Amino acid sequence: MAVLLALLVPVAALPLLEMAGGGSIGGLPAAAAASLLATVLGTAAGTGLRAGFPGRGMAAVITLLPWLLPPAISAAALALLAGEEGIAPVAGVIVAEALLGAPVVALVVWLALGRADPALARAAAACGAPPGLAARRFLRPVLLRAAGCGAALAFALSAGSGMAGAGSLMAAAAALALAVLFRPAARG
Amino acid sequence: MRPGPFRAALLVAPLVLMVLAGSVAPLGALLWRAVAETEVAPALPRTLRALRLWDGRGLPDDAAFEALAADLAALQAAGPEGAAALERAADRLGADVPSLREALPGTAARAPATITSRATSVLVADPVWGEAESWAALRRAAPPVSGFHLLSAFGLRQGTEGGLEDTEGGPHDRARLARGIGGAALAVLAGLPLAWALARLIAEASSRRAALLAGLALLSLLAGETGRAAGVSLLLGQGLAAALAALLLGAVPLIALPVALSLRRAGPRLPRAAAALGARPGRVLLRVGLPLARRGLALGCALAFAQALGSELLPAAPGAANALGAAAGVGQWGEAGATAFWLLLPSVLAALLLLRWGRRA
Repeated sequence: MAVLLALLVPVAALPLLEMAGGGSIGGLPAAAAASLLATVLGTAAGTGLRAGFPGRGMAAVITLLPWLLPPAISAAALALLAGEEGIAPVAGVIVAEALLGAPVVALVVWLALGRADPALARAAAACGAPPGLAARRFLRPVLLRAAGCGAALAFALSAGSGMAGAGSLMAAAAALALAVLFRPAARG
Repeated sequence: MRPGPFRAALLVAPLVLMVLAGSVAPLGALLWRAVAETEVAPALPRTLRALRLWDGRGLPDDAAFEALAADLAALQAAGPEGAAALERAADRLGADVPSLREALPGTAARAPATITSRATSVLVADPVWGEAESWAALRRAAPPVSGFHLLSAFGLRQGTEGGLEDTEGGPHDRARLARGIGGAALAVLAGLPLAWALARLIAEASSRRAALLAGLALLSLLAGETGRAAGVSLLLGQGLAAALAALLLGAVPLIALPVALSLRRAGPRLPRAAAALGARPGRVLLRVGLPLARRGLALGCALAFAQALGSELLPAAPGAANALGAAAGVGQWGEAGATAFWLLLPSVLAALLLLRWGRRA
């Protein structure tokens, strides 16, 4: 608990600073666009990664790559690309933030789908329900909840320092999103 | 209810393609700049052609002087574009031999006013052209690909006799790199026990409480690098301790969350069984707790190290990430690419070693 408090004190001190109110490039609209992009791509990727295919390990590492690169390198690389290709800075920021948000959404969806109870699918099949109907009834709610929570986390991540003043909002968004991960696993 | 392998691959493909286009391709372009020689060849093509015939001993023959005068005259005649190309070439050559930064534009300005042969006018305009080292620097910038920027970012340069020697700010450059790597390693090592305690707190809590605790732990990560640095400097002021504390704040949640997920997935039964069989807490931690959390520890440490390595430290004690940001800010992409390479190397090595260690679980 002491560790958690030590983590929170400097963040809690932020609203005292005037600069905490200053947003990053593009501000909230850019963060919203980035989290939307991250949610769409991350949900699809999480569903695919959960299902499995040859080369899944490599795909998972590539998906995680933006987090494994030091941020200064990613920023410089995108600045070079933006300068060479004439991309607007806001577009560059949206892509950079979406690249960080999408793996988080994919991870949330992947883990949430992993917790869906396989016994339900078997029971549906035993009752004669077609696989499509079973998927709609059992998987879609899990997927939608996971995607929504991933989107909240991606948005909180994108909003970054610009939203630091509204810390409690971000903590709530993060807690909501993480609830999917920490729910007790369904029994098979 | 699962999509087949082909459909699953199609679902993952857009994100993989976006990471390749938005992260891997720009990174490749940045690293290419670390080895590509693009500054001098477009500005001084005749000179570099003439220097191909020079054996590197003494001074080159008159043809090289003549070619340099012709190149400089052509740049002067090309107007603003020529001036920009001249500035880029002077920057690149000045990074190798500092006197050339002033000498190249100075010669371009003064040589035409000298009433003598073109070759002699170069020598009259600046005596630096009477030194073999200046011509050697020009020849080093001639090939399309060289290790100049990579060596320079590490504080080294190729000497006139072929060996490596320190650049003017060599020890300073290496200290900056070491400070960045050392700071990141220190943040991960110092963060490990804190993250472990936090991870156990989260893993052992009820579902709702675990999510809330994890959300709160994530808050310092979500506040962003600037937010963390600002919050810490408000409490600790400016200094090395504040810089390390800001790195630590970013590292702890990144390690704690994967570890908490691993511990929660493993459940409390095995550590409890070990304790019930008489194992002491230290032994339970070493023989049961740590192996159970190994995968999460490896991933968390790799993520935290990479993120800490790329964080800009305080201006009073800059790390390599500060140098990268500064070089990219002024468009010196050769230096930026080389600094990125030296930052990438330890983070890739650490990620490979850690993820391999985690997979052995």
